[in-house]
Amino acid sequence: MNDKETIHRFNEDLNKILNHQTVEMDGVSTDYAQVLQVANQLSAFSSASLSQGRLHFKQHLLETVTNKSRAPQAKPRFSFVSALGIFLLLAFFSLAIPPVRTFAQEIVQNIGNFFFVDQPTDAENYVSTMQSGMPTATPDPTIVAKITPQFYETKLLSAAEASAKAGYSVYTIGDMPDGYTLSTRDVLFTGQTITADTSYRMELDPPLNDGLQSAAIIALEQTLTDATTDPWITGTGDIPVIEVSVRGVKGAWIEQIPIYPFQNEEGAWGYVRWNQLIWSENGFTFVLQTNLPAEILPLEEMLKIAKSLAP
Amino acid sequence: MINTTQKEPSLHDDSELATRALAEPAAFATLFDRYFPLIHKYVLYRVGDVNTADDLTSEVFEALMTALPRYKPDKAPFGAWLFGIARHAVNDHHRNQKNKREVHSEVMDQLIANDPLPEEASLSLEADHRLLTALKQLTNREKDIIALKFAANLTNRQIAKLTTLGESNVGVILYRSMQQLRQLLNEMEKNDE
Repeated sequence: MNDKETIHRFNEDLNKILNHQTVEMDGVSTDYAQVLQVANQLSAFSSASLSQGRLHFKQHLLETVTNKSRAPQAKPRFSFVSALGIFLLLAFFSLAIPPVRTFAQEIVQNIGNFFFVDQPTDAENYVSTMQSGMPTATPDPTIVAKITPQFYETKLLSAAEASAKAGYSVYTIGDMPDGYTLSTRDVLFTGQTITADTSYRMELDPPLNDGLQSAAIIALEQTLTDATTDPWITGTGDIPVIEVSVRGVKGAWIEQIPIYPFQNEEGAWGYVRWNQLIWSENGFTFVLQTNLPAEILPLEEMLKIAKSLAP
Repeated sequence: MINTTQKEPSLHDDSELATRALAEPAAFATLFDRYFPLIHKYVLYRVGDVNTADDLTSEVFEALMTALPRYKPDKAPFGAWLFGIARHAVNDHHRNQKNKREVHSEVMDQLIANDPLPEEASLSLEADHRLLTALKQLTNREKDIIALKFAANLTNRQIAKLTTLGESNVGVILYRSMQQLRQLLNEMEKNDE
């Protein structure tokens, strides 16, 4: 091969490398093989994991986009009667519902019965308590009930059995990404509320997070709520609550929120972090959550799963 | 036979997604997840320093927020347009750095700091470090073309359009640059022995 032919072949082989095709190496010189080896290395190299603060930067940008995406409000033209009505309504609420008023200034977002507040997460509070030396042997069980009912030992009921147990139609997911299998479906009675919990699971080989995470989980919680249900006040720490549209209603997307704490062998605390999509619809509050980072299961995919839900 | 591997996603035509990105956070999040690794790799190949690559990649996405309303899908695919922004950011950076003393890269330290330990991973980091060190010795134009090819996965024609070079010229520069990289890597290996 002359120089021109070699360059031509190289560019063809390079395109094969970039398109994940196999390159035939029969009869090529050692030099040429080495050049292709370098090309393969350049193609396979991934730098994103070296990036510091990628997640925080993404959250910052998403907050900006969320603010921008809110369409400018047309100047409302209230009649005197409307204005008086609203004033009276606000006055009534401020007098009649003191518990809400007490934390109203800290509310970051409200979805159904969820009130996200600008306070440390329950998991972070737990670690603070443990680190302060206070003799708290176990986490507050209500914390678990509010956030992570899926960690109870649950059964694998059919949708019909779950609906019968719950006393309402339990929603099922119609469009689950490939590779996941239904692992649990059960109904949890958490005092005031009834939650249907459905989990899908996929074994991970190799595991993620330095071997700590051996399975990918996508879980759905469907909780029946009404006006009498106590508000669920959830601290989100410094994790932004991003407003999104889910199935045509307002929802919240919370990325990498600490769900529960753990200690490593050296005694240092860390958190298992999940991504959560939360919305309220037809009297139910839904939490669709996963232990996969958004790089693997992005918000768009979660919205797709949410869209496929049906009773 | 050589089995090829690639960890990063390739470019999609995300024009439609891009037009929705400022109105829909979910669309923006998808664009970010899809393009951050590619832009970061492009910038790192050109500047050879992870911290600088972090900063410049952030600048690119900040610039994207401002520029998105002006994006015209009929003029260019989103990926090529975004890499145009990234090229400007890196070129500006080089212009600003021109009269400043070059700061030595701390790539290896950063790589090791992020290393989860297994032996194969260390070997891979060593190889990556050599690759980045070798890349730094190429000219800006060569680094740009390599970065556009391997990070953005652009065709030679697309690279030619961005760089105002001829398409065949891009192919030649790519091959010559790869030869040079191989030579530099071989020398490094010999020096290490």
